[in-house]
Amino acid sequence: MTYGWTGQILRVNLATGEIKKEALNKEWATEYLGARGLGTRYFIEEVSPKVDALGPDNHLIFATGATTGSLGTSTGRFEVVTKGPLTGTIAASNAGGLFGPELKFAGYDMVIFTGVSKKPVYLYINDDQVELRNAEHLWGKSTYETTDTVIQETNPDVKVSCIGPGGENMARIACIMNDKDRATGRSGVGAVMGSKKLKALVVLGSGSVKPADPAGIRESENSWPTTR
Amino acid sequence: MEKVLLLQPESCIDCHSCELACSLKHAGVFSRTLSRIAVFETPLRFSVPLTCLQCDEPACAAVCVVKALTKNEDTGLVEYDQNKCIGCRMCVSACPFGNITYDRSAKTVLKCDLCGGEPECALFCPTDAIQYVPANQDTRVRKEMMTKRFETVFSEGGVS
Repeated sequence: MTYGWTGQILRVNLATGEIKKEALNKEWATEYLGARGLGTRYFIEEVSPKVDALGPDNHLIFATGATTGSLGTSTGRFEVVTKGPLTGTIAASNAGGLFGPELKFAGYDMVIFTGVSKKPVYLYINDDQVELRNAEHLWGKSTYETTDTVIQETNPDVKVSCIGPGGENMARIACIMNDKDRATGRSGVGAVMGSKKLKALVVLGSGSVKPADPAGIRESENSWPTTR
Repeated sequence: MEKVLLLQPESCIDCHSCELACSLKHAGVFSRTLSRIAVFETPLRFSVPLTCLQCDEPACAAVCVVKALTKNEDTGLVEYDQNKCIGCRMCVSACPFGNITYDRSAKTVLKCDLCGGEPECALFCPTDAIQYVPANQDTRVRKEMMTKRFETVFSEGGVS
């Protein structure tokens, strides 16, 4: 049993459309705490420092941390790790909102995108059901329009992370927007998503995150100062 | 003294802490689907915490054929007995607010039990959108808010 983590990651090859589920590297998960640490560990293992940030060999990683989806201040965040087109170094950009926890509830600690898709696509995740869907009708739409359209054609409860025309046109400061108004605003990660022709991630999860020590985490969260 | 959960949508910031506190207390995990309370939001981002209101004439208890749901007149609580429950889910259909759900894997109804008198949702709500207050004071907060508004209006307008 993996506590905190779901123990499963998704690997999506956008060039071939192949989607694989694999076990989380638990050694790394322990050694590199947090979404940024773990995401970066996977990234430096798999990607050469010399790749073109907007080319097919760059990877785009959506990572969550051990406490994502748990109760308490700042635990709702997720991290996007890739090679940034703006600075040419490892880029890690994070955002809050309900998207990160939803990815955990769907059963995945991390999603790794490789390759470049021929046509615009979006990734739909509903617990065990994971598929790449056509996003040609979404291409060119703003992040608000995209989110509304996807919610209409899938499920009112889905959480959406997507790019707008900035990302599609690979502007080097483009963000990835989730829950409409949350942004992974650093390092131009939206441009990498646009270069892969990946319009959005759409997630619906019904699972849970299991803490090792429920009483302990409750006590620790309860000791945080609140706005009261 | 009977106490009630006071839900104040105007203070809710859509953080979903109540849901996670609830599922942690009842199931030992963080899960929105296993929570007895739910935060719903409109497209315009107005969010409302929703949970069992412990009705005086509960439709869920009236429709229950095996009396697994009963109103306890002493505590005010609508109580659930899993041993009597046959899992027909009529209560889920009967609740006008959608505040009862059914957990298929555990074969049990998910319904607020006020955590035996110390509701976790109220404890972990960062903005006091959920409070646990004596039943005869449940409108006090609103009255206080209105009074403060009058105070502001009249003192700013120079009327004293």
